[in-house]
Amino acid sequence: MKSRQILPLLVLTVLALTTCRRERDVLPLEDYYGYRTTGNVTIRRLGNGGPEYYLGIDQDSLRFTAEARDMDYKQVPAPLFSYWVDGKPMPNGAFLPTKAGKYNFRARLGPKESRPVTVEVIDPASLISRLYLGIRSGNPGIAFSDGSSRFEFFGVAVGLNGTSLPFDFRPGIRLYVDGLPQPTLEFIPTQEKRYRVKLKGFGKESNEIWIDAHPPDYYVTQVRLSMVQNGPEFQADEISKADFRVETLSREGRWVNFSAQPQREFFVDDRLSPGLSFKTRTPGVYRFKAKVFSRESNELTLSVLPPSESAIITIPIVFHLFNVAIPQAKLQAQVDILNKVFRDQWNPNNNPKAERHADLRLQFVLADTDPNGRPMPQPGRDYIDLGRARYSQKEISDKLGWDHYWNPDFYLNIYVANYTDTYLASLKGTWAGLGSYPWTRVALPGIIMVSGNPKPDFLYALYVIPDVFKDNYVTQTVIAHEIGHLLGLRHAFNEASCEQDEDYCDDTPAYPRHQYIPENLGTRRIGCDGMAFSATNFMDYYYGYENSFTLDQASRVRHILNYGLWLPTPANGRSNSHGRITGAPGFVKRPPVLRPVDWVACPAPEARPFGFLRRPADFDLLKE
Amino acid sequence: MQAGVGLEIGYSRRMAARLELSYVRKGAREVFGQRTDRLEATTKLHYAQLNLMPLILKPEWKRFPVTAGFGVYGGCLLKMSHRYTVNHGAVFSNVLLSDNFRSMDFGWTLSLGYQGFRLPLELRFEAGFRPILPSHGLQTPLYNRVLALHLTI
Repeated sequence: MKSRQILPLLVLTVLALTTCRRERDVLPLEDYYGYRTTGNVTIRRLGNGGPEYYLGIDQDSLRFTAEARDMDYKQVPAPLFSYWVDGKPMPNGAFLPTKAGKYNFRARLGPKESRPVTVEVIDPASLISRLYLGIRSGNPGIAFSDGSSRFEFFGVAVGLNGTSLPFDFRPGIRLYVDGLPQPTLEFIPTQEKRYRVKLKGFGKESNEIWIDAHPPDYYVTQVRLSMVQNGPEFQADEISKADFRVETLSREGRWVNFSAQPQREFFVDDRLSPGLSFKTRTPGVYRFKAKVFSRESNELTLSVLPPSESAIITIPIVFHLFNVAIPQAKLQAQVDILNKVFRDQWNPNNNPKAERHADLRLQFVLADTDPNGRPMPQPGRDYIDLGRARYSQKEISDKLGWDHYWNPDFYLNIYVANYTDTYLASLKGTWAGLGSYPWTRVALPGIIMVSGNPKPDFLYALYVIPDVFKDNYVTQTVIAHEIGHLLGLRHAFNEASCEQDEDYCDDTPAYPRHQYIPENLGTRRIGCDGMAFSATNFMDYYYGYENSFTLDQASRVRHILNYGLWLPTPANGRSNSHGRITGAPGFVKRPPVLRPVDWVACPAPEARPFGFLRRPADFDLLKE
Repeated sequence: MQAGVGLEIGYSRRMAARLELSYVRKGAREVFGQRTDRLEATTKLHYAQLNLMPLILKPEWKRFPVTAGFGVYGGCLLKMSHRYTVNHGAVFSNVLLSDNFRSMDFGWTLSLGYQGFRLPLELRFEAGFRPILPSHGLQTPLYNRVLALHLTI
């Protein structure tokens, strides 16, 4: 090649090299145009994911994750997000707050930016008005100084507005015994002395609990055994039940309930019994005795009668229909279902029943006489026209219901309306049935006990939505479930944890409620004891066979039928073997001040398909 | 890469005009980064392009037989593909991205040629008048910028 030809080639080469960008220059990710097809970017806080972060309590950094989807809502694969806090980049997607305030976090993917997630960083000291110390287990009235008593405490940080704060405060607050910090919230006395226990943290101190620890024999100069039955007669039917109480007299002359084991022993016919309740299927005379530190109690005897056909109790029902047109045949059909449910005959799909399923010997009729003593043209039907379609449960339980509260000593009142809301704000309008627990004259765990014969100062009744009258396997047992609550039964599951069986019935396996989520459709549950079982109980939520009450539940219902207030039962002087009402029962007037009620509501979750039951065509509502 | 046919009409010995119809493949391999993460993207744009160079100067310097031309072009986007990989992982194809690119591209052309070889060589620079990917939020708009070496048979 001639030299004159080299020059132009050289010029062209230099031009090419200087004009082209070097191939491996790294451009900022924000300039990556491929992310233009991203539809949206969402950011989510990792960990508890909540909108609050408590300084000194939340130990970890705030961490986030993000997700991007394209216009077709398909997830964008393997994207590179950057995370920003208040417009500043957040290295590694983590942020450790040191100051209180509100922080906005965003994720960016190229040019796309997520909506912000706001986290409020809170200094707990600014929220806590006081600390409260309580005892979770252990009896401070009986503390042994030999190391055999164990106390477990709990604390509540009370906020400025008087409510307990929704966080676990333990990292910031410690338990102090006689001024010495403890590693946990537990304490075991080892000396004979008075211990002073309190919480300290965030510049606050809790109330003080005194624990007087003594040698065991200090507490036991005398032992007393007492008994409560769930009815005047005791039958060998495993429904009659006796609950015992062991008390000891201390040296200072105080009777205290003594529950500590193994120091307390309980004997039935001289045989050691693990619990303090008694049921049997064998008639006879039984002797009961307790022993505390070898000191014996008085002896009690109980005559157990052979099981007999106890009378069936009949309860008249009145449906108060607030601008709801339910056909009379539907009301009767619902009563027919109740009569099968409470007589242990409801099992339309022939599914397995609970091992200890029971007949509650309870039946219902539509009331045929109104409170003025006049025959009702359409039994059990009280149509109320107030000129509107929807009502709030609050206004019915506070006011409107009282205008139509038929004497509950004669009727079971059921208010039917298209409800807009409830006292339980979290449920919005999604509940199917709502009720409350009874009151009793004789102690029953989980139920309020009163003496005398007070008038109701809350609307002891049921509230249901019209959908429960649909011919629908899902909704047909809602009213039966709510009547169960009204007769003292609690949900078969545990609301939160497995610390105790919350329905006080040993034959309904406890399981934590969070297991019951739509994604886990099925009858299968894993109990708190780790054993799998099928949900059969009417007091469970819907995804179960819903075909059984149990013997222990029958015991509680028998207790309420014998000692519960405001029910049309023989124990309350109503001769109702046939459900007919004589005389003029009248209405109950609203008292000037209403009592706050421990409502129990059964929400209606969104419908989900499940194949193990015969799915009805009309499937728009579930009883949860 | 490009290939096509052209028609050159001489005004005189030193001036000419040229019309070309060609297939042109443009595109880029780019690396985008954030901290230690790397996103490598390959974009290919296939055009049918019409070049009009109304004035090509051919000074008759014996030692340096060069040419210089100026013109405009119009391209029709036939097909576009975009693939990317993050941190040398799996390769993904973004088929939705083609909807974001303009289907037509117009621009100007500048060429420098050398005719001292048996087959004339030409270095050509092309630049679009308007973005092929319009500005979007914070991003810089994308223009076609091409430097190509032409060999005329």
